[in-house]
Amino acid sequence: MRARAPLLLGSLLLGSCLWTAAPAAAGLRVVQGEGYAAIAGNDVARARKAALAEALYNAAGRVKTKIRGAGHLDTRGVMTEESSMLVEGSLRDHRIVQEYREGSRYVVIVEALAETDGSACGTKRVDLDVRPIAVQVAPGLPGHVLRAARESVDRAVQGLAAGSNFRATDNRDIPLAGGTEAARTDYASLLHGGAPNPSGYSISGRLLVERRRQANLLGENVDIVATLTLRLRDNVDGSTVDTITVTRDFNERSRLFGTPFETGSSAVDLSPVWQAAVAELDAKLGCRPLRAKVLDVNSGFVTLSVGTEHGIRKGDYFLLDLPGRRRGDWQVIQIEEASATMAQGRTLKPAPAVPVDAMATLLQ
Amino acid sequence: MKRLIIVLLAGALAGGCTTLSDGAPRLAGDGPPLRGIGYAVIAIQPGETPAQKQLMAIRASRLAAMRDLAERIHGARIEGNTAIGEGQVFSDNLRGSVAGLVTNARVVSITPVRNTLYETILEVDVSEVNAMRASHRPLWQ
Repeated sequence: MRARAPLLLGSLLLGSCLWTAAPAAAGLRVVQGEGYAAIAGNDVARARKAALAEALYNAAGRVKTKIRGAGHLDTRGVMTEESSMLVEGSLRDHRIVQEYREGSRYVVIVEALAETDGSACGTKRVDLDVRPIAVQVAPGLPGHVLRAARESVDRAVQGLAAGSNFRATDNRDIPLAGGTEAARTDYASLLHGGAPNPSGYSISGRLLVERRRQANLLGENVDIVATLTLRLRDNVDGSTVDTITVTRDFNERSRLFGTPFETGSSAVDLSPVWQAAVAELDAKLGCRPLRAKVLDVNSGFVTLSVGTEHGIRKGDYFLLDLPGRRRGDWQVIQIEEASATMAQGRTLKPAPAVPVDAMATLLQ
Repeated sequence: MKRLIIVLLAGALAGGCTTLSDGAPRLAGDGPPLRGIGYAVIAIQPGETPAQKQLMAIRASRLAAMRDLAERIHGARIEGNTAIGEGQVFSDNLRGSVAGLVTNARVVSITPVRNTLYETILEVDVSEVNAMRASHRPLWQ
């Protein structure tokens, strides 16, 4: 066992090393590739196949290519050089965008759905509907603590709205129905005219501020303990994505043999609680690909529920999530026009048809 | 002694973890894309017809451009070796190598030059370069 200890430790460390070096969550993207092949003996069909193969190879190369090269200059001044490349991209599906004969060669241009190991962190703004956040301060605590707690909530919501990761809407005055209620059946918000984005998320929760006293024969320590609990809800199906809980202690007073030796600041600053919660929120939602809901379909022209305020630009691609779809049965929307909260685009293929209310995910 | 070796091994491995993404120089986010250029002579390519030779030259120039790009992104390793005997140089070798990962390179142009060679220009966005530098160390390390 002793002899195995260094090996075990080494494996553990190497494992942790590889784990930390692992890429972020996988995503999808649309890549283009073009292929050329010479037409030999008027055999166009063969040239077409060869051009298609090269187009796919080039498309995969856009995702991931390893390059190795070496040059050698010897005593006589003769240079030898060698280069090689290894394509490692993975394509899920493809379609031919264009193919034509150009003199003695055949050209094929493809558009492919490629798997990437990069994440979409921080590139777009996710919709976040802020619902009631109750502030509860334990009896006996001074009024300025309650005021500080309320102000900290206001500041945090303003900070979320001004930040780059979220497009936060302050709907704290609209009560959130219990259970798993999707955005489309969130009647309270519909009545108030503040229906959340169906493809976004909602947060609600509670900020609880209490006093904690620890004492023995020698001394006494009194802290103010702030506990923030936020429930993160998916607006698509009303399910709870996660619950964020942050607790921070603030020293109010300490006494040793009846003599105060450390006195905390009289003003309570609850911003560290919110900073930790927002950082966790960023980590949980900031790297998820942006989703959008299909609002309308009109002769191949699709309207989505996200726009420039979410960071959507002309030329972005969305992959449609079609329920029960089979392999090759995918549909991609290319954005042609974007307003503040909506975007319109065309489907890249004539089939399958896009149903209203379908969900789409932004491709990288 | 064994314990010392374990501690040294642990330190070396942990050190390896930390240096994986450290020290890679970052480019300014709003800078122009990084370009790689490659050339290939048509006449020396394998192929039975001129069209085949042209296509092979396009491939070769593309690979050369990829290599140029990899060199710009990850850097190149240069090794020189000069040997002197009795005050006279009898061996002088220079070796340069490049190895690295390139993602999302797009073709800017593939142009024939005076019908004798092909020129390919590829480019990569600065954000992509920074991501590659941060997540992948050069393959020779």
